[in-house]
Amino acid sequence: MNKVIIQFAILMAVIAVVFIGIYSIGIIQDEDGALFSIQQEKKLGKLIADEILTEADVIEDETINAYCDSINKIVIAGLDTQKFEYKIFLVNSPQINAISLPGGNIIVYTGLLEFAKTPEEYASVLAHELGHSENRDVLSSIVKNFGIALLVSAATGNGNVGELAQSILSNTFNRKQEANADEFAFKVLARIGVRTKHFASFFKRLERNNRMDENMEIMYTHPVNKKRIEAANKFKVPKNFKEKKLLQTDWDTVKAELPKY
Amino acid sequence: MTDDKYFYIEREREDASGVYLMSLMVAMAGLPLPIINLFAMLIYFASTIKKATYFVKFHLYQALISQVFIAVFNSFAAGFIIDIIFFDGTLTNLKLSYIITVGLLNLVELIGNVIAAVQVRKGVFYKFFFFGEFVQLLIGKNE
Repeated sequence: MNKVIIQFAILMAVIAVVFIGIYSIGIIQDEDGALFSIQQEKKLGKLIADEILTEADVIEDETINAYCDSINKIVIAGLDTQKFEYKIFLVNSPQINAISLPGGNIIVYTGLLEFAKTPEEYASVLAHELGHSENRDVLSSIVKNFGIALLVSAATGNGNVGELAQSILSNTFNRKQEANADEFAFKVLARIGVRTKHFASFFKRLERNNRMDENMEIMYTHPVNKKRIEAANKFKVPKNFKEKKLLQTDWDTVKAELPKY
Repeated sequence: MTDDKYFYIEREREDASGVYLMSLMVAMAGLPLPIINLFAMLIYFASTIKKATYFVKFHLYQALISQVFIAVFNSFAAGFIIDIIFFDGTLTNLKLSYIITVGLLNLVELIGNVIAAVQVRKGVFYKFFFFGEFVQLLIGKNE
């Protein structure tokens, strides 16, 4: 009997030691529970962004970029904490979409700017994308959708970054991630003086215009449902909320500067 | 005329090593779910335990009990994996470390089963660390 108890204790001790040893290595070091640390995500994000933007028609016009940057800075300033140094790239494309890439890189297509009726609507979508980045949704979603092997091979330089980059462009988030990003966006908008009705109006209009249009990429990567629009309408701004205008220039003037396709 | 004693010992070896092979086959057939593996073992156990000699009985119990032990650990690992993949649970360092540890435990069990299957087929009375002693405590020693 004693022998059995001793051997059982040794067996459990060995298992515990192995577990503690693996735990202490700290494969996941990030406090968010992400498989990659912030530094690793930044490195991977740069690789992927470089790959995507090489083939994209990036807008370099100073006027348009100045308008967008002024809005971008205000939205980013509304972040409670900031994990990344955000770089927002404006790409000439009729696609009505914005895409979060790993490491704080965000692509905004000019189609989105054209579809937005006000700069506040654009800010709403941007705040939503920032939510995905801050919540570390991008990499975790890629891992679930495409497997960790693709990420690791790209990160170690053994794999095809191009393949990974293309996968990311069609990446989708699950409902919980979308809801969390929405909630994140509402709080950011509240901080910068933008009412969430702009978020609701953008997506409501998007849903009404939903047709099998190749430009409606945003619909496939950001499924719209009534609950999201309702949540935006129900969101209560804090007591010290003061509504602000994001851009002094008329939005149509900004849109007129956008290049034609 | 067959040598009955030789035939019986041969049959014993087949039955005893069969239980370890059952575990390997189920794992290789892509059925890593702990409950299915355990269920397969139980079926083999139930069908073989009647009229089993001590040699066979010992190895049946050893294989089954070690499988139950692993199944407990596997159940938690399976729960974590299902939570992460289907219910958007967070993959923490604790959960990943546990999953890897259980993976290693399964690997050790797999290797143990292979060795046991080979040794028992040769007629060796093969005892796993702890499980062998525990089974002898349960069913007594073959005096």
